[in-house]
Amino acid sequence: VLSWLARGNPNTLQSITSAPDYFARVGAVVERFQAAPDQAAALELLQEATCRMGAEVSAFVSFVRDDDAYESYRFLLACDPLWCFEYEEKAWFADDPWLAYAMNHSEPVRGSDIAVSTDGQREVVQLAERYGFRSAVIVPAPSSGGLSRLGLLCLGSRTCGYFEGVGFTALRVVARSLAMEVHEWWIAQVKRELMAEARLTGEDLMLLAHERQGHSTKAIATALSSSPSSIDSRFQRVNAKLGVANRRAAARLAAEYGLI
Amino acid sequence: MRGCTAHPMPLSIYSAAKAVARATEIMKRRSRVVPLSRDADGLTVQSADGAIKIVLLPCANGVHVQRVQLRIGCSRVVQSTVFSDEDSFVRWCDADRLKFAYPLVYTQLRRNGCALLARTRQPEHAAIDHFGA
Repeated sequence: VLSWLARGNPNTLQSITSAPDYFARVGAVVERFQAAPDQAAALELLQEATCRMGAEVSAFVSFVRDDDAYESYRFLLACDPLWCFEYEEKAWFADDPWLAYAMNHSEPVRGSDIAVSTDGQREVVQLAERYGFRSAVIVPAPSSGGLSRLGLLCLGSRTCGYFEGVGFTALRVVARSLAMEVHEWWIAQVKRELMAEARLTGEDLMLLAHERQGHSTKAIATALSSSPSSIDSRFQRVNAKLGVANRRAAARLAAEYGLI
Repeated sequence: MRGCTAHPMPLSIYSAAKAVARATEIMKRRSRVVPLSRDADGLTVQSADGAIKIVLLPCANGVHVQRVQLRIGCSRVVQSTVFSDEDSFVRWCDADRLKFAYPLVYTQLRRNGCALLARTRQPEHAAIDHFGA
């Protein structure tokens, strides 16, 4: 594997994906994802799955917009991490054609199939090429329910046109399942972190669930057998715990991270 | 007309002193580092203002590094990666532009990261499987 990373994969994608145990070998790694206890273990699995799928490098990006102004990006990097520095320093999130694709589509595609129209987009793609994604597959991991959170798995190879061949059809099947598993694991991880850091109680979550459903203070007070002023002050405490400005943002944050 | 002068008004001694004091305060704040913390979740290096936090955790393949950068009221960026050798770790530390704003954080990071990598290379650590198997 290390020699692959240094010189590029000597095999063709077709020869790797046509192996009789291809799906079983990748699946054996993918199914272990939910049991990964921490990010180090998850990264190890991502690296292993990347190699077994026939790619050389990969990166998983999880994106959540907490409210209109606040965004959260999380990167699992099974590639040269310097790529992420350059990407982040130039704040290329807005220009990234692959991220834009993932926001509006759910089908895995080759990077070459995504139209690049602006100079900014071209620079993002060129940067990825410099860091091992000369040929790339973009695998979106969308969320349901109109939430902003989404995941994006990028698989890469240093060999030009590596993913253009016949093996892509088999690869996209396993890549999609890997992307969804990583995304689910990542959200569960963030949810645990948030619960621990904010020290939210079951009552807090109930309150946020009511807010998310659009209930008024009076209605919530009636449902929880409490007074409206008590409900308001409880919301203030929850807002402070979550570090947000108002109860609407608190409920949105809780929904984005799967707390309610 | 006010606001249309070709040459801006020179700074008064008072406002110049205020600007210097403010710049000094920013530098002092950035120089402050929260004392290193070690627990089961790893070793944490962070700036006093909370803008940057890096957690180092030994793992089967080397050292797992989680870097959390907070831009107050704007975004949170978390990077997670594994380093198996000292060279790539040092290269990564040197490439981070925040090292200029938080020099003490990065001095600590480099020293402790290299020490952890050296320890994980020792045979007794290399034999430990990350999942405890």
